[in-house]
Amino acid sequence: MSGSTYESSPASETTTSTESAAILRIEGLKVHFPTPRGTVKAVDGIDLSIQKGETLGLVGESGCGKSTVARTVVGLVHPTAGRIVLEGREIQGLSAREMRPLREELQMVFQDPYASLNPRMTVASIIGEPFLIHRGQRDADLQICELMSLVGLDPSMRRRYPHEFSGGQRQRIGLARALALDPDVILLDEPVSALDVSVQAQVMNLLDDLKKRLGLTYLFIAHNLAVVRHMSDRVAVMYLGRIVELADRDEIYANPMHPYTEALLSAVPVPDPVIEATRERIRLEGEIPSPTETIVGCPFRARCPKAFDRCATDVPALKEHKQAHWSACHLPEEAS
Amino acid sequence: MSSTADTLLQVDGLRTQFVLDEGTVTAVDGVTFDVKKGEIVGIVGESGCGKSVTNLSVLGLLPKPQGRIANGSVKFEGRELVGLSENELRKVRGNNIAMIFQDPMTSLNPYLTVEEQLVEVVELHLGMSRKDAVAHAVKLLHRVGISDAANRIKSYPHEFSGGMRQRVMIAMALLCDPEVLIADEPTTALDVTIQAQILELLKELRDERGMGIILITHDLGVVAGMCDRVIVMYAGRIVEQAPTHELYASPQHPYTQALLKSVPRLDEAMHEHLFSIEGLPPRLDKGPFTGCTFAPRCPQVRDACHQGEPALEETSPGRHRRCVVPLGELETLA
Repeated sequence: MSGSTYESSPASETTTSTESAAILRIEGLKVHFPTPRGTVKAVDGIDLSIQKGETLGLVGESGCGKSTVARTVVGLVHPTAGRIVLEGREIQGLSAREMRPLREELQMVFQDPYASLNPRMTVASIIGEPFLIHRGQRDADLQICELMSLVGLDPSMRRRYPHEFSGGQRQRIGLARALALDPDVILLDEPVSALDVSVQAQVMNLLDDLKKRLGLTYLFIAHNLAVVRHMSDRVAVMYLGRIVELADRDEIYANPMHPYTEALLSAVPVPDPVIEATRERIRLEGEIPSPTETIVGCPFRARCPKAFDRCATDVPALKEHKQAHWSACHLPEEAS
Repeated sequence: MSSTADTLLQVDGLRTQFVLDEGTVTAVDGVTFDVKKGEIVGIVGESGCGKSVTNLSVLGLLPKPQGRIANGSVKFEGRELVGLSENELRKVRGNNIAMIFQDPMTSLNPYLTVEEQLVEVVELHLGMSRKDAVAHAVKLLHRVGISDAANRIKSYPHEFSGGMRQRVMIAMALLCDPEVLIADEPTTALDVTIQAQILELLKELRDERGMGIILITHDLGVVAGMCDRVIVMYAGRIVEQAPTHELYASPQHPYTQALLKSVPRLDEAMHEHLFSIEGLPPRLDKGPFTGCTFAPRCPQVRDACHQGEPALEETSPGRHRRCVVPLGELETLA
């Protein structure tokens, strides 16, 4: 796959800087699923690195591979190729048993607070399970109460079952459980997407507070660009299994470089009728191609309003076109 | 609300209840609004606020036997719908009032081709011949943006993408040329770029056909771009109703203020913390409530809020709100 060989990669680049080394590094990651209809290239050669204490936002539409990235990092899915380095250790393709000690460093929180909690377990046993599994600790009542207070739940409710809690409270339960082993990195997969606006704001503020208090590092995955902007220090945009743009938060929102990022930003409705009435939308025709399709040239070409000849033949590599601003598009080179 | 020649739908004092083993739950109470020709009316609110139940009541689609309209009236072009037989209601649905839902997969039959499903509707409601019915269905599929409609109509629902399925649903809703379209979270399951396409299509159809549209959504951005008027619901009640521009420029209910303030948005400078409304909406099965249902979470609560439920009052032509805090004393959120 020629498209995934970068001249320099955003993963290696950042680690050579004087900043502290990346706590999590993903290099050349590919996740391909064989299906009867052909190979689905869910993730097709991505490089990412996350610094300690940073929140990296990962955005993209359904099927772009953003959740697969997270699931591969925590070991729920085995990569086809590439390396995943957590605190200096390679962890790709480890078995569930080999992965277990790493749970004290790396945790994941899922989108659906209804599906990810066992309905037959009390909240205390859900939050306390990591202590039992990892430390053989049966009575962790004190820690459970502390964790519940930490995430804004009333510890006196610990004997209750998940269905007795609202969506926002269940997301807090999932978070308390993820925090039980005091991890360094948390992968958050659409953690507020299922929540109502008023509750979403509460959980976003909580995530922010916890990050500061506990010195956490987040990979924050979401499809909502306004939510990602609020949570992230840097943002990566995915399309069809690849990263098409990567930059600091303020830079990418103010000066998007890739036509897909531009279109995404212009499609987000703004809660202001005056702005909405005058806003120019970039209309993307069509839909995301099937991931089993073999695509020649730029994967975004078929929907890109700015596509030109070269896009049909060459896969654009992710390049640093501006200081710390990476884009996988031929346009900047064409312009210069 | 006064009825004019343009008024298509008039809902007045609607109260909908569910009779459950645990007791009777009032899901919607005192809901009053109307929809005029060519108008898009947004109903916003969070889960459980009664926005969907309101529209199921309008359509006569409440789950039986638990759901019932306990009070109020729903009129289509002056004709009372509450109390109509199932047979008469079925004629109204489709011919006059059609609907589309969030997930087209739950409303389309996975075992039948799109042709079979669309043609069935046309034959049933319009009495067309098979051949004319197919031609009519193809024409509408083409109109909603399905290319190669004459062939695609032979496909099964799963062979379409989410966005295309929503287009099929819209075509199906338009088959009998309804005067009112109720769209319940029509783009919530779709990606933003596809959402933009579908919303654009709904606006075009409104312009072409002069349909009245009720757009139910939780997304205040979608409302801002689509609706002429907005109804804000909380705990089964309308708390505010206003022309869209006025509602966003000067919300007159503390809940509307707070809701607008808690949305992270792309067009504003970043704040360290998002504004958030503490607590949760009340559980409706814990009712009836003695005071304002928002009082326990309201930053501007005062004693009067607990003395009986505030009435929905008109503050200026076309603007209504349910709050005891006098307008002059209402604080705006910084």
